[in-house]
Amino acid sequence: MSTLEIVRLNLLSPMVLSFALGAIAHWVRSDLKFPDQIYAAMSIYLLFAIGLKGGAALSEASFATVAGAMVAGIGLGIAIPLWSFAILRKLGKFGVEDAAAIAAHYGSVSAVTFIAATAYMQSLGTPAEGFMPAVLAAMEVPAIVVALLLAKVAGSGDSDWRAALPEVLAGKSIVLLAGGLAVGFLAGTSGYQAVAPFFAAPFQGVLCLFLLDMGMVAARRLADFKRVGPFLLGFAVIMPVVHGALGVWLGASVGLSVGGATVLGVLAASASYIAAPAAVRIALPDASPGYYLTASLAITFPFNLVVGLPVYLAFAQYLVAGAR
Amino acid sequence: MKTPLKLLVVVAEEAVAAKIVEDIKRLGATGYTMTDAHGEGSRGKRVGRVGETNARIETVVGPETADRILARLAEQYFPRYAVIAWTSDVQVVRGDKYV
Repeated sequence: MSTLEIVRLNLLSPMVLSFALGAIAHWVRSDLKFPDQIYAAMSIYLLFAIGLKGGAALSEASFATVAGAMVAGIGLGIAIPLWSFAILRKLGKFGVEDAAAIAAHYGSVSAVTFIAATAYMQSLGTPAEGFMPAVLAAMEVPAIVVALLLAKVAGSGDSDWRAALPEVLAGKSIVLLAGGLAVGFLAGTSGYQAVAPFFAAPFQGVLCLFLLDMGMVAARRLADFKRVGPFLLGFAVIMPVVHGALGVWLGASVGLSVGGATVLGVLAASASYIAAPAAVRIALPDASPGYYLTASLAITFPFNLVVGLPVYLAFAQYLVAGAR
Repeated sequence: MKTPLKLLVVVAEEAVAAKIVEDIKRLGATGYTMTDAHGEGSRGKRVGRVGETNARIETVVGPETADRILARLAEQYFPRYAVIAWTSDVQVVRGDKYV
């Protein structure tokens, strides 16, 4: 498949178009609005559904492949905040708390970006390994801990990372993802088949609705764009490409398929906006959400969704398929 | 039959709402009511999404408890978090239920 075709398929996917529709709805000041409870229910459904599916796949996957992908993912989660923090401090002149907060977001991962990536790979006929949700779950927390430790070491006295850790681990995204993985793993493929009509078939439809809402949220956040400044704007676009390339390369190195390497790249490139903001708000209260949330939600998320996905896929095809 | 007491209302960003409830109970409130809230203020617009959720916490307490809670909010939350609070005079029946 040509790169142009890959880009076209992504731009004209129902997911990306729904996201764009959400943004347009905000800009034309539509009265469209999802009730909070529907939003909460959709995020629970999506997180638990990928957990279940990943758990069922995990029960049949080979240990070596899973272990390789997990080590690569966790390694990225630990390393990304280290250099992100250094870059933000040295080049961006950010304060300790803001630099650590942004580093936590970029090291941690976005479940929605991951879900969009797996759906995209599925639609192209090159699905990622089924166990990849396990890698997603494993990558949520390490970066947050590393970033909070960095803040501590760099002398931000108030950063109470021990207080934040239980909240991160008991947070809804971890409980639903890790819990879903455990349930899916224990129930196995046959158990999963029984609940698949509810969790698999409507999945992409729910994802479209969720992205429609995300489009409105991101567009609203975009109003803070000017406060972010040119450095963070550049960071929020360039770092995902660097991390994405690194993730794809690592994925190819540990033997993942084109789909799997792309998705690992997407995970590395994505920035958290569920687990990390909650932890950072408590542990680094002086860090400005105007920086970390706007960068991850209004810049990096749409960038990955629209531009990043096909770029990481093209790189994965070059590395994995080209090597054969 | 009616007892004069204080109604304390706190509107707080989601991240600290649970902690504020703990403080309120520790400082002497015997109960509270919490609802999701939307709104806009000096710390931006909160419309019920990631990083933009508010909770409205209401509790009926005696005047000293209300002051203790307000002092705690002023010290711990006002400088860093999106939190506002106010009290008003209310009349309740079964006054011993609240103090």
